[in-house]
Amino acid sequence: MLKIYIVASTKGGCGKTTSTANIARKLSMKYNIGIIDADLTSPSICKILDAPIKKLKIGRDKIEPMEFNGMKIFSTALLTGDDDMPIMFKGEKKRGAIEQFVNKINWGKLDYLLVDAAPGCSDELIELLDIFNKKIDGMIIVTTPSRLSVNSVRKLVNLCEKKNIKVTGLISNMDTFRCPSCGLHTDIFGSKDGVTKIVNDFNIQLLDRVPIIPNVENRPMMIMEYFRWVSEVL
Amino acid sequence: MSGITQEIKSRLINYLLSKGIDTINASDEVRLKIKESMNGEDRTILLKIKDFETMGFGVEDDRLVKMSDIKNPTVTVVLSEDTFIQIVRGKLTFKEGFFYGDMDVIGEDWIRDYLTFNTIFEQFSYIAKEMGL
Repeated sequence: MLKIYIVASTKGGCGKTTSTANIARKLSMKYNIGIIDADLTSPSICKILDAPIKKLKIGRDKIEPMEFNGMKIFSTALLTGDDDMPIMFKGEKKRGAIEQFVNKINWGKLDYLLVDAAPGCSDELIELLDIFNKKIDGMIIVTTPSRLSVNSVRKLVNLCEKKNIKVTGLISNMDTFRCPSCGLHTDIFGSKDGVTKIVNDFNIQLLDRVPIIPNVENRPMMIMEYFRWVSEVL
Repeated sequence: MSGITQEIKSRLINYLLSKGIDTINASDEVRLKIKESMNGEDRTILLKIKDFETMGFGVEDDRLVKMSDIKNPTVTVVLSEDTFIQIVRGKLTFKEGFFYGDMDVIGEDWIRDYLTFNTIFEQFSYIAKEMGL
C-alpha cells in the first residue's frame, strides 16, 4: 500500500530538501521510494542527493523517472538539465506540472512517495492537496526556531487542521549550534520556545531537534542519526 | 526585428518552417532522432504566434508534416513572432523560451510534448545555422 508524505514548510531555507533526502535514504534501505521535487522553480533534490542529471526517457505511456541509489526521482531540474537555467512558471503551468509529475511519470510500484514541497502556501501546495486529496498519509513540517519561521509554520499547521491532513510531526532544524572548537552551544535564533509552543498548542509530535552542522548542505547524510524516528513514525 | 513589415515577417516565418521541415525530413539521422523521441505516438504542435498567424506541424511516422489546420493538437505553444524567429534561428533555444517564460505551453501532457518538440526545435536551430541565418 503506497504511503504518501509531504515534507513542507512555509518558509524557504528551513531544510525541507535536506530532511526529504534523509527520510528517503533511510526508507530506501527497506522500501521502494519515489521522490517528487515539487519546488518547481527552484528544484534542489538532485543537488542535495548529489544525483547526476540524466537524460529522461520517454516511455510509451509515461515518462521514466530518474533512478538514483534505488530511489525514483522526478524534478523540473531533469527537464532543464542545466543548474543555472532560471525556471519562470506562471500559476497555471505550475498546477499542470504537479499533476503530470504525479500521473504521467512511470513510478512503478512504490511503497513510499515523498513530496518535497515548495516553500509557502501557493500554487504548488494547493495543487498537491487537490491532487492527493485524502490520500496523504501525513505532512512532515520543517521549521527553524526563528520567530518568523515558527509564526509561518503555525499557519501551515492550521491549514492542515482545516483540510483534515494529518501532521506527522515537526522537525526543528538548525535548532542549536555547537562550536566545534570550544563545544559551546549557541541558539542562533534565540529562544526555542516557539517550537515548543507549536508542539503543545497543536498537540503534534516533535520528531527531532536537528542542530546546525557545518557543511551539511554538501554532505546531507551527516545528519541521518536525527532521522531515527522514520522507521517508527512513517 | 523592428523595421520589417508584417508581410516580410510572415514570409520569413513560413520559409523557415518549410525549409526546416524539408531539411529535417531529408536527413535519415534526424528522422531517426525524431522517431526515438516520439516513441510511436502521434503528437502535434500548434504554434500560435501572437498578433500574427497560427501554424502547426505534426509527426507522421518519422516525418514532419506542416499542418495549417490542426483541430486537436496535443500541445499549443503561444509565443511572439520575435521569440519564434529567435528560436528557429538558434538565437534562443526552445528550452530557454520555455523556461524563461517567453511562451505559454498549453496541453494536458505538456511535459511529454516539451521533451518531444525540444528535440525537433534543436534540429531547426542547426538548420538555421547551416543556412547562415
